[in-house]
Amino acid sequence: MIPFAALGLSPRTGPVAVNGAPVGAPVGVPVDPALVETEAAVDRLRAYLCGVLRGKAAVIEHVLACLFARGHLLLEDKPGLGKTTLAKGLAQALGGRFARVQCTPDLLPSDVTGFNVLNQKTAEFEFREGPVFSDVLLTDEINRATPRTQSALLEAMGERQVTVDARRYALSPQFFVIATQNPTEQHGTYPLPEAQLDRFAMKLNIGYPDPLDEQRLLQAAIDGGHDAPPLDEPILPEAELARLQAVVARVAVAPALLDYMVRVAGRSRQHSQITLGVSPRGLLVWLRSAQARAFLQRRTFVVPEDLQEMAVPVFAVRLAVDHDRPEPLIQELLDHVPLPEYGA
Amino acid sequence: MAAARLTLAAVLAAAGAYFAAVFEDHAPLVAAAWWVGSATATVAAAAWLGRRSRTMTRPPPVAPLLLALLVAPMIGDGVSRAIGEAGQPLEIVLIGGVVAAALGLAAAGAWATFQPLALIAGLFVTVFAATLGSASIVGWAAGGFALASVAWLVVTHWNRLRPRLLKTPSERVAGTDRSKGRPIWTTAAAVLLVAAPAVAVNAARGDRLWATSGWFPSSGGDDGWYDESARGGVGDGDALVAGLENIQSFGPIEDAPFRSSDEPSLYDLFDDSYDEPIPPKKQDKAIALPPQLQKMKEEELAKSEQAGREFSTLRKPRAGGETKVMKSLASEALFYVKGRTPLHLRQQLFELFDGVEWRPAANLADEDQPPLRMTLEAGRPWLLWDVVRTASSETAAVEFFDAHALKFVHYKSNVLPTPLGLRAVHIDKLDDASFFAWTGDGLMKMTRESLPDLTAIHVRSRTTDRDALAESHDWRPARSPAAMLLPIGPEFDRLKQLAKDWTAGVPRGWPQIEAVADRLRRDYVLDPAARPPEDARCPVAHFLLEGKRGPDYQFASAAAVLLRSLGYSTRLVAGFYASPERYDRRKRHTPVLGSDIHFWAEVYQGAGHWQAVEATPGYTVLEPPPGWWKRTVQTARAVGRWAADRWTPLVLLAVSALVTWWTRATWIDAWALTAWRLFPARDPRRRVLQTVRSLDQRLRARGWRRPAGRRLAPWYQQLTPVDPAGRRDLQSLAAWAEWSAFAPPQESAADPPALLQLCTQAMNAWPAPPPKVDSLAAASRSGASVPIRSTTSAEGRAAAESGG
Repeated sequence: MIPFAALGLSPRTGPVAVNGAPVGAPVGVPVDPALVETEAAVDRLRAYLCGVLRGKAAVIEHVLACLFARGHLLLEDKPGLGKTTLAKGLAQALGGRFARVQCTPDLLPSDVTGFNVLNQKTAEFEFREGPVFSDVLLTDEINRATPRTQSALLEAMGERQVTVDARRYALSPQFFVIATQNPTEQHGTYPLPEAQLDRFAMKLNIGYPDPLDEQRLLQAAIDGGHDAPPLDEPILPEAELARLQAVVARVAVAPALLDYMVRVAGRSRQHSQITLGVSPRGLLVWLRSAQARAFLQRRTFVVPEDLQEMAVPVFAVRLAVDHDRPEPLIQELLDHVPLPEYGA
Repeated sequence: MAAARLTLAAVLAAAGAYFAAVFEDHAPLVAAAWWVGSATATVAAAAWLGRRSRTMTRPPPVAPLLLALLVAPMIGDGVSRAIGEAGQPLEIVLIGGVVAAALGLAAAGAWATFQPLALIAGLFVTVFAATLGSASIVGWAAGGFALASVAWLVVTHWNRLRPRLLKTPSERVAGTDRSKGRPIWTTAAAVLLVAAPAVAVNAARGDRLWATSGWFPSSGGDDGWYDESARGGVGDGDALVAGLENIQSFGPIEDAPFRSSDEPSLYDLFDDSYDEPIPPKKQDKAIALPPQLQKMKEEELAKSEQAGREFSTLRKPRAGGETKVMKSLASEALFYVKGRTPLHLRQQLFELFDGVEWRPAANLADEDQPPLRMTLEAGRPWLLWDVVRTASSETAAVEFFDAHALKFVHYKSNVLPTPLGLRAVHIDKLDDASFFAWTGDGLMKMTRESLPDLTAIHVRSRTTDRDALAESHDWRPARSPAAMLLPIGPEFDRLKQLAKDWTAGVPRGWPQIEAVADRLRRDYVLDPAARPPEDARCPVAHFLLEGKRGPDYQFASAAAVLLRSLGYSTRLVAGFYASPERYDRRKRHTPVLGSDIHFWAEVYQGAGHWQAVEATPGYTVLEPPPGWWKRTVQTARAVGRWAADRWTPLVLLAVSALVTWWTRATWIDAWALTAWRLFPARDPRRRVLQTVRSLDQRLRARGWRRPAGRRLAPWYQQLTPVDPAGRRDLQSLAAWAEWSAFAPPQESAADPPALLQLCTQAMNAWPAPPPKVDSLAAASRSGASVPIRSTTSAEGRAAAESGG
């Protein structure tokens, strides 16, 4: 080593603390004082969902990000891992109308959107609203429905409206779809078309819980049942959710990060093993999700970590890959596209 | 990308034109080496910058680098002049800066911003080169520049037009590959457009192209100031130029004009239109010149007696028509030699030796002298004669011809100092063989009182490959018996014995001759002041047997006497030695002074050939240019000797270089740390980013380069310091770095002093060596295969919370 003293420098003298405590991480300041209360609500929502789905804090973080980014969610995993439980718990916590469709191969599009019936008293057609006329729609095992029924959901998800017999019906502005699906290699499934997949914000895998969490789950079942405890009132009422979504959309993103996003998308389109890269809509969803994650981390600006964290679930739903799962390729994209330089 | 490549090609062509024009009077390899060197550097830089440009959104600040490139040739020229090398004229150095800057801009052509400026600089350089140079390669390079530039214009124009020409969005998407539908005439027009400038530039050779000369001012000097390296100028430099009109000085160059002078001239010029020609005060034999050269003015001529670099330029008269009185440049040189040195120039031959004195060789009878005749070679009169060719192949095999130009300044004899093996003589416009006569074996004189001053005399001579002489078996006695005679006396018996001792076991012929000369060079000391005692009966014997030191004539006499005693025909030669040490790099001539008078011996080989025997230490005989292999061996030997002489500092240097290389991480680390401490950014945000960059630099020095897509926090996690406080500091720094880089600019730090303190702490938390490579790889593998990297974010949050 160089004799530092000879250079007029002194090496590290020991752990130095500023005012007795190390300087913590920057968290930013909430833009709106009223949000302090909202953030408490978000914390309660998080805690509630963690109670519903034990040991899956990261999944719940993504679910919340998807919700605040106004995206629809696709949960994919093996049966019995808590997909439906999570969806029901989320619907309860948000309040509003909750509907559920259990998809089967004989499910018809009108079973989802609704249909006109002839009122024999008035001799007029009356519109019977389907399950999409709700705030939270749980579409269970969506890949068991036929492609025809699946595409009926397209318009509802993309434009928050349905058209029946040439008449347009608007859906709830907070319309939020949680779809679950079994891995496609299982029997009796119809893979979702790319167009439909692109309308989901992200795809999450829940995965098996830890042994410890499984033990707790079993214990809770002995004590009284593992369904979500009933809530007296919704944690995030409709208006509050709308306000939060608006706040999320205003989270700052540095131009260098926008450039980074575009570079990642460009690379995904050129990649030899990716047949369908990230679409501009995918970029928008990625941006919103990252903003939502920054908000959940109580930051007023997006950092690369938000983008990298959200890239996996956001891209997983929309990248068409030659073979196997897209996740390793997404990781490869993130590893190879250089981050914006710090202070360049 | 195409535009960047075209820019590069255009600027490289411009640089090629520049180098070709500047080094026109050098070997083609010189210009080629310069071009290849700079082109390689530029292409490498362009490739590197091209890769960087993909990650850098904004073009880098290049101004300081450009400034450095602009100045670099001036510094280089200054250094070159300081160490005595020939400098370049000011305008060439200045444009050299523009060339360097243009190459730098072209290397950064990956950013479109720099392309136009690079091309403008290239255009400037090309026009300059085209006016300066006249070689055809300059024209071709200029054509190449025009071609690439036009192609660049087309490409950039098309790139701008394309989005507007494509009508529908779908066409815009597919628009990148529509070349198939392009009609043939479009392609033809494009080719014509591109080829026309190249054709024009090369067709318009001659006056039309060079009519642009004068666009560029050039150095040449003025009153009280001049650039000795100037090639041509607006003002009057003092360098020798071949003028065309209104000549004001005269120097030893060939195409100088004829002027009247009161000094005896080789050339006579008279004009009947003058009533009374003023007869020169001194009269010497002169040759009549054709009437078309009769342009004269009665003016005092300034003379430059210094041979200079020959270059041609137009020298303008001063405004107002007033003739400037030039001062003459004086020189101490008797004459100048242009050509390869060392060169032994023979002036007088001595054959008969009486033990003390050498007597000049008797002139050969006229019928033994080869008759002289004049022959025109490429329009120039050459004096030639028939050489007695030997039938033996062994002497013919070693023939190599050298050409030298001699420029006489203060030489007051009429004997031409010429190399051994003289074959031809040429003086411009002198086509009368009666001006020359033999004055000894291979010695020539002019039939005048003295050689013409300030006149270049070209000689061609045979140079012997002395390595091949060992195989020559002639070494017969010469025709003149005096070349074999030795006085009789006891001293000479001793000398004979000495010669036998020295050559014992050495085969007869060149090896024996070399052995004698080597022995003299090795065991005897050159001492120009040493004289034999006055009572010495035979100075040569005294020198050889007792004194063992003496001036060069003693060495030559000793060699001649010893070789005679061994049965060879020898003679003593007096003349001049053009030493390579005197070579003037700036003027590219070797001056020969009065003190360069030298004596050496010659030995008869047979068939009319004599060979020089140089027995004086420190003198060498000119040999044919070595081949590649011989040159390589010589260079290697020279380098080896040089290194062996300085082995201590060299070993020290090598060791310290190795140690520095091995400890480079430490040095870079110390440098980064010092720079970080000496130049702290005041703004907390910038200080944090400065710290991150400095830390990155220190880590890189240790071989830990942060992967392109890796964020700071996990990266620092990998390089976790053992010290938990340092670990916390680094994680805090990572979080603050993201804030500094990506938070909106209006957000300011709550506690700037604490933040600056954090920077110091993090900088001092030197990370411990990284975990083993395999565990690193395993970590990254497991991280990559987890679809939702839940643990990272949860841990990160926990760490942040505990840190806060």
